[in-house]
Amino acid sequence: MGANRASSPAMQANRWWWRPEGAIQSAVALVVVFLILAPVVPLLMQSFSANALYAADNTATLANFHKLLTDPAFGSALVNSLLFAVGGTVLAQAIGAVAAVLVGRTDMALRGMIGTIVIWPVFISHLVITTGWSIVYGPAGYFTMLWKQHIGTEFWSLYTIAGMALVAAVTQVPIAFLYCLGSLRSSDPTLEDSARAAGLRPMQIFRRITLPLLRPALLVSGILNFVMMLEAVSIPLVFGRPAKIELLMSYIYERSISVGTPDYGLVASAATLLVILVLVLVIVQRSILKNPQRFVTIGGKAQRPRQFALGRWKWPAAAIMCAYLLLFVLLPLAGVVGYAFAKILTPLVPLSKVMTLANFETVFTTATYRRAIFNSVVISVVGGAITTVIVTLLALVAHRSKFRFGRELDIISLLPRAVPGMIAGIGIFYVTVLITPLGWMRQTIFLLMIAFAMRYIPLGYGAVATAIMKIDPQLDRSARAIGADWWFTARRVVIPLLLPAMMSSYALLFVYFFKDYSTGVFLVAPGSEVMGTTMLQMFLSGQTGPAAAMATIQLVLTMVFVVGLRRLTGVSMHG
Amino acid sequence: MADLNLISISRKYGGFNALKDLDLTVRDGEFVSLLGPSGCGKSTTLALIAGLDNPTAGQIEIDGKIVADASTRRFVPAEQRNLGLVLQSYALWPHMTVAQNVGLPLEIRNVPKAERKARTQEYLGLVEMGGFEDRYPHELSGGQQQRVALARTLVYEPILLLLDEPLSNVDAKLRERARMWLKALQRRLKVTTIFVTHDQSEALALSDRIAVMSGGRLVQAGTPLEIYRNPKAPFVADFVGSANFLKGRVEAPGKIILHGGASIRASTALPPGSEVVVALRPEDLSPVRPGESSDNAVSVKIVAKDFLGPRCIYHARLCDQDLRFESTELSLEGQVAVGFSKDVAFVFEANQ
Repeated sequence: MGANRASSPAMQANRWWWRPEGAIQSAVALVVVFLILAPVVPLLMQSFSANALYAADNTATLANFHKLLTDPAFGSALVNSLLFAVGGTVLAQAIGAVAAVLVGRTDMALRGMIGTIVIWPVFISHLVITTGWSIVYGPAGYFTMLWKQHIGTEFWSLYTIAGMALVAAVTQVPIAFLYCLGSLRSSDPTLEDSARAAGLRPMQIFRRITLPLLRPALLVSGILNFVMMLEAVSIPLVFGRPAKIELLMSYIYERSISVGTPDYGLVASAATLLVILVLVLVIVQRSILKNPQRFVTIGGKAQRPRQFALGRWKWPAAAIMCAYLLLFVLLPLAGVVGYAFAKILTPLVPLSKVMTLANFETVFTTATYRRAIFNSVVISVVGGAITTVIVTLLALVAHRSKFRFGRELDIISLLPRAVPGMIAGIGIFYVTVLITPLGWMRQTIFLLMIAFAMRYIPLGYGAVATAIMKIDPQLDRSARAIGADWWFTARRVVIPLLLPAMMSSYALLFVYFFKDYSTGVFLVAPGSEVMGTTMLQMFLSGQTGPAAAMATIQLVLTMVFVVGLRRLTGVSMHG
Repeated sequence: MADLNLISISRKYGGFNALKDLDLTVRDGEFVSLLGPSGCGKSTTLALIAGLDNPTAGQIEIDGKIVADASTRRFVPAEQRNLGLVLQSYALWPHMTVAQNVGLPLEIRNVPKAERKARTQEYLGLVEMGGFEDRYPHELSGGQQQRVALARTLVYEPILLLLDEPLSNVDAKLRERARMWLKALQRRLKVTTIFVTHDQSEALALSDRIAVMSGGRLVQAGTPLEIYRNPKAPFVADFVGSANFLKGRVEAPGKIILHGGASIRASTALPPGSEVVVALRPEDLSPVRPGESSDNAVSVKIVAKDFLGPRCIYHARLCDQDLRFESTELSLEGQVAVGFSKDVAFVFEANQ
């Protein structure tokens, strides 16, 4: 006993950067700042340069912005994009909120199953959903043809802003649903009980108490969805382009990817304006979140909120929800899978006559496609894991250390949310051009890993940061007090408690890395193809069959990973 | 075990003074309570001693060594001070068993495994938690968690024990027992202890000395008896125990006229003419029966009473000022005479 009684506190200067914790914290900060600023800074520089960024003679200029703002095509693209995003967001929020209320707070029939299927689009690439809609509801789509055969001329067209907004809404409903459901589930039942005691009837309680408490969730997820719609690439390209309706992302795409000599300055300044627009929205969202006590719904005790009885609406409500899911989510997916197994998909020819595995054969025998699948798996498995480690360290530094720029790190980590994937791709590409020692990366999947890591830091960080804030800081304080240093405390106390959050962060990152098709658009090179961008090219060049086969493979692999990870972590978690 | 010296330490957060010029010396083996309402700076003081926060001015000396010096910005980090800190929430690590919780400080100090196990057992026995080694924290009651937290802190024999309201999460009924037990343990181990609390009865029962704090400043330090019997400020008189405050003016040495006209005798060094506040504890006042005499006797009118069982608290009016007093007579009513000794009337300068 008493082995360490004499351990005298060594006098030491407060050189925070020199102690091991200082070194770790500074390293994390450097990596994160590089990842976050890398795509933005060159883009800004390009938007103010007269020539391409890598050209030798370059002068600062505002000409790019002038040219952009006087381009009538940009003006109409901006208006179209705003109309599209507003329409899509309103629809997504309405459907998401209704679904959340029905699933979370009523006794609707089949609500468990409905709740599960509503969130499926989260796991699926927008590109796949968009294509599914085109296969089923497009002018020559399966459902459209059936309708024409038996009922008459179809009354819908996806090649309009309203049609595109509907498809976009379907892809974003899960976000609204999950935010609202979380808010409904955690709301304090005593708020409703006291309203009841005050004499309000259930419908009044619902209208006066429950719905207003949903407002922050609706607003926050609404801004998130709005941003995602502004940066959507697949819908403008698949539906907008043939109908000559240009949106912001297709405006940028047309002037960079699909032309021989891109106008770099114009593209960069359009991207810069878009980033600024999104940045403003993200800041608004943050300031809403900053004042949450107006809507504090978390009660001290873990009570489950009461369910509202639907009475005879129990089944009709379920029927409406099922119809939505069947028509808007499941049928388009079935369209993609069906197309993968068919020579041609039309109600005019029975399915049994056109069944084929040829599309899968094409995918598996073409080296490029095989490589795309392999690369995607590697990037998602390895890159997702690395990014999980990065965001965990970032959360530790930002929330659980005395690192002097912790708060700034926390704020800056949200910045990538303001940079649309395709634009982030342009920025990262510039980095490899500007910093010549990084040039070797251009042909490799490292570049894509870095791009994806940068793009999805906010996503992974969000999951880990919310969890770390729920861990009582007294747990670390007491570890420090018994003699553990920062790094030991992190390893033995905080990280073990964070593991479940790290796992869900990993699952999220995997899914988003795997389904991403826009970030890679500028970055892929022969040898570094990924599934998303390859599929985009295939769909746009009319190889719908093999593309659908690849989409089917993507769906299956995603399912295997998500279910597998749940099994794995479900077993290893305890206590 | 060690002594502790706080030399005019301050802690500023931006423009806000959480702590201002605190001087306090704690001798080896002493049990000192920091007592005050929330926001008085007592927890800040504890965090500064522990090294979880650094002072913006002043020095902290533990066991003769300076561990924090704001003027040179040299601070020994918390983990190198070898102090023990028990927090209000106990902060047991939820993913570790009781034995792992208690064993971790020894692991950090590279104590061999066999000895680690023996010492874990020994200290769990000391806090009467032997046999709970394999339980997880969430399987323990509040009182049990508190004792494990204490074992986890004592197991590495810290030179100073810092307790941040460790009894406030224990059931009210068990708190008195836990208090007795804590006091006995501290006396046995003779570890210098700093105890933060807002509960005056805890501070009075446990401490060798109490430091009463308010608004980031030390108001008075002394033994529990000194603090109770000789408060140096109205705040201390009211916060430790409770007090009536009567306004008045010094008429002549030893004589005070209360607002409303009543005249009382009390010792004061203030010159005649000074406006004063007289603090009187309810328990120091008692009804005067006919024929009894007292230094002071004033006539009050009872307006309400709280019945507490063995005694009553009477709310009365003395002229136009409120006065509470306690009595074991349970049925006083109307106009009564109340007396008190001149030694229990504490006279403070008004607006102090």
